[in-house]
Amino acid sequence: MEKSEVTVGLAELKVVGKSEILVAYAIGSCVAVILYDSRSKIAGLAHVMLPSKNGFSEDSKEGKFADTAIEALVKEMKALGADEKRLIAKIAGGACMFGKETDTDINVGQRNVDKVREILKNKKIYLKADDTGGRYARTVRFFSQNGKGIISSAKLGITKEF
Amino acid sequence: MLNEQQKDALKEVGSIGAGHAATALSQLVDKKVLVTVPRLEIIPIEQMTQFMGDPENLVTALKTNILGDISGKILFILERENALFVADMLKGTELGSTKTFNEIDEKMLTQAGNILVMAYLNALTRLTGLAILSSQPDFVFDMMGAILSTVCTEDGINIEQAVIIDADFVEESNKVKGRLIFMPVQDSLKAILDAIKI
Repeated sequence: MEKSEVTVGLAELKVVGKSEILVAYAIGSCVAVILYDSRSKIAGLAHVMLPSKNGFSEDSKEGKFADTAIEALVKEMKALGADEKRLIAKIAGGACMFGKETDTDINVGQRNVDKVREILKNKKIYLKADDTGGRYARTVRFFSQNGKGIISSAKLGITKEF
Repeated sequence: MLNEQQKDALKEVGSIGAGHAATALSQLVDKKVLVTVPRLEIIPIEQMTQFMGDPENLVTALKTNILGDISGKILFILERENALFVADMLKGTELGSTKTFNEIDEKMLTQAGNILVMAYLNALTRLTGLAILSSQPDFVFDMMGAILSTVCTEDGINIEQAVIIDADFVEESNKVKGRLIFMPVQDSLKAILDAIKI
């Protein structure tokens, strides 16, 4: 890859301008929440681990929880000149790595996805692509130049656009 | 942070557990399996993914939940190539013939991995006198980073440190690197260190 990639680690969130590549490696039950303003080409990615900061008041990493992460992402993107009304979202991850998918106590992946969708709906951010669930981990890349996302699974040997 | 004496105590548990595991594996494959002296690291949970290297590495993992006097999780991890090799050994097929994991491979790897985990938990029980129970193990094959992050978040328990035990299992000229990750919840780690008798 000729361009350098900006890696977004666990519980991190990052915002980039045009011509950059955001990447989140090996997403299992976590969710990669990507927000994008196609006019300013400002893109942000949050590597969310848990649905809500509720009950984790001492944890200061805002990128860790869906509620605080999306809030922070929107704020940071606006500060760089993105227009909140133009934002679209793409989300990926939320897999069920262990146990039964129907067991919602354990299936933190599904709970993460549900929470992310709910927040985006409340914020009236259009969910343009949603590649979530299943029983496999994903690596997600996003190209701020054209708004394209790529998902790959080493386990299944697949790569697809989203 | 743990002091040297506490670290040594945990090392001892690892060594005894690995020794017993090697004996049990020898019986299982009907060949002499030896084990090297385990290496032990204790790291804060947030550094774990960094410590493990490339998050996209494909591994098999056996996850067991721990209950009873202590609670937490244990993962037994094999890199893909090592796991394929072990599957061949367990089935008695020619080395290199297993290319992917089917249901039978998963079962056999679960069984063998479970012996290792139980050997470790037995050593822990013996040295601490604590009652330690375990759930049925859960097998997964996927990217290491995804497995670790899921295990750390799946039921909102507070794990702060991970005890990582690496040991090589050797059968003639063949070597398999096994990695056991013991993640007691914070109170449980303290309970173990308080109870340990060496």
